[in-house]
Amino acid sequence: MEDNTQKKLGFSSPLAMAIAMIAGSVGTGNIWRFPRVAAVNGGGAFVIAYILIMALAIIPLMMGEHVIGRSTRKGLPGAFRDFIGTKKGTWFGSFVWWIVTITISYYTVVLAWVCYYFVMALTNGYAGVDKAALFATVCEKNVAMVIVFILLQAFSAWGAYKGISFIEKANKVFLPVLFLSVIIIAVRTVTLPGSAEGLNYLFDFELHDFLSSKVWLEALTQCLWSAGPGWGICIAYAVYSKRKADISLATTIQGLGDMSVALLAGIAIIPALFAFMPTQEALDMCASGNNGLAFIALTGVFEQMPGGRIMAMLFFTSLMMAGISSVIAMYSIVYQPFADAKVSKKKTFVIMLVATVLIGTPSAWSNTFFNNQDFVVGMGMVIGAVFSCYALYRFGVEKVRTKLLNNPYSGMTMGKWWNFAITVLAPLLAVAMFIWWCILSVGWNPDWWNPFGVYSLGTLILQLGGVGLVLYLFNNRIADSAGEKLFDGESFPPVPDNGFSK
Amino acid sequence: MTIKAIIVMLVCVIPIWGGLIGCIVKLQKMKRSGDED
Repeated sequence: MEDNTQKKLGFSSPLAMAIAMIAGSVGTGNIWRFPRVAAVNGGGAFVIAYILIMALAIIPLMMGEHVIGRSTRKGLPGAFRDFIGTKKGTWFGSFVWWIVTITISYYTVVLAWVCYYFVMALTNGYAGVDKAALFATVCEKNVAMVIVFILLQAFSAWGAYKGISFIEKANKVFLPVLFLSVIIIAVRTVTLPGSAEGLNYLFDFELHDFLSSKVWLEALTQCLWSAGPGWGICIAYAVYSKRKADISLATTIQGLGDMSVALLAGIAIIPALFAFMPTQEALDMCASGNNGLAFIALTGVFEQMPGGRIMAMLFFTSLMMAGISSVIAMYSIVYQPFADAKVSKKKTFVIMLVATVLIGTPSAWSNTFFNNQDFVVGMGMVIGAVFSCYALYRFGVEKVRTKLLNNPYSGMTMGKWWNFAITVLAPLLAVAMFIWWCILSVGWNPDWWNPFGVYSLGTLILQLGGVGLVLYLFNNRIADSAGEKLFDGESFPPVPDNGFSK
Repeated sequence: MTIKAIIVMLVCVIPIWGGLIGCIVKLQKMKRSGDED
């Protein structure tokens, strides 16, 4: 009887878990950030740097995070507490949990815009309209967007509330629709006259670009913000993975799936831009940011393209599928500490929904606030990646590798290079990226110290430092709420029945 | 499209998409042991 109950807990199969992890990792960043950043940062040199960083540092780190989740079977605060082996370690998990909460809050605003633009594509509503002016009315003080934002929050919170079986079923729809949409757009755009120039920009290789530190830092930024180390997705989903399910293979599938969508999106989007715009204008549009590309440039391109309305609908569908699956995954992350503290499911749902709506509404109302949250969260995720490296280092990377990662059920064993990736490469890259963005932020702002600047170093210190301090003060209380330790330091405990695991 | 860009595209795309399919096939082959807990 007990065995049957245990079988129903967690992901139904290793593949279902891998699909959920891809769906959680693949977000709008794969579709609207990767193509434009690749095109303006050396094309092929950027893509190769991106693949190398993913293979040598990011995927190994995600494997380590997977081990943390499966070993501890706890939400982020409890996971860091038990893996590091001291109450003081709880703080690291609490900090990452907070970052994920803020991410859900502001990120769902993008999905509200995507919904709006999907309807506009369906009704041909933006034909002949000034696209930049239209977007300004959508992202600033728009009551309808706030309402759609709240509805999307409620749907995502409900999806995660229903538990792992719902997440599995939903991803069986989200992921194929996402892949199919991007593939159809790619086939359409590469057959457009003039699309070859776009592909040249995406894949042409120059040695001086490959040796450029900026190209590598941009590639690193894409890896860290897109794939998902440092924001708890691997730790959270690993809590629901079976003891005998393979870790390294599932995480490799997650990383390869993330890269596959990014490359497909690049092949789908960049040729379209170059087919309908002069080269310099296309490059300027790529440099204009995610919103500029998706809601201003591409809407104009789809308007000119034969069959463009269908392509636009598919494009916004792909963004929606990528985004909503990530938001549901993030709700799953933020629910877990409540389950550890034995808070009821309904109470958890209400608390988190109210919190994310309250925190996110200013971003839905003001684009300036949205941009600030986007900047702060991005930097918070980098810190989260360093915390994961630290937790693995404290436990002992060699022990993690030989006893937990390379277990008898591994289809892919990791060599000693994995230790180097976790102790040297991944933390070094994350710290380099953090410092680089801090230097950039000081360069952008004469008043870089201003704690209320949109992209200032001051706002980073105020928000991340302030939250860090508060969580540090409450550290022992949070640690005590995470329940008893399940991890014996040697083997994986069974999937817990925490209310979300069926 | 230049020859160089085509080569780089293939060098990037084939290992990633091929690797993804290969890993999924391998994971499915191991399914029996993973399902039992």
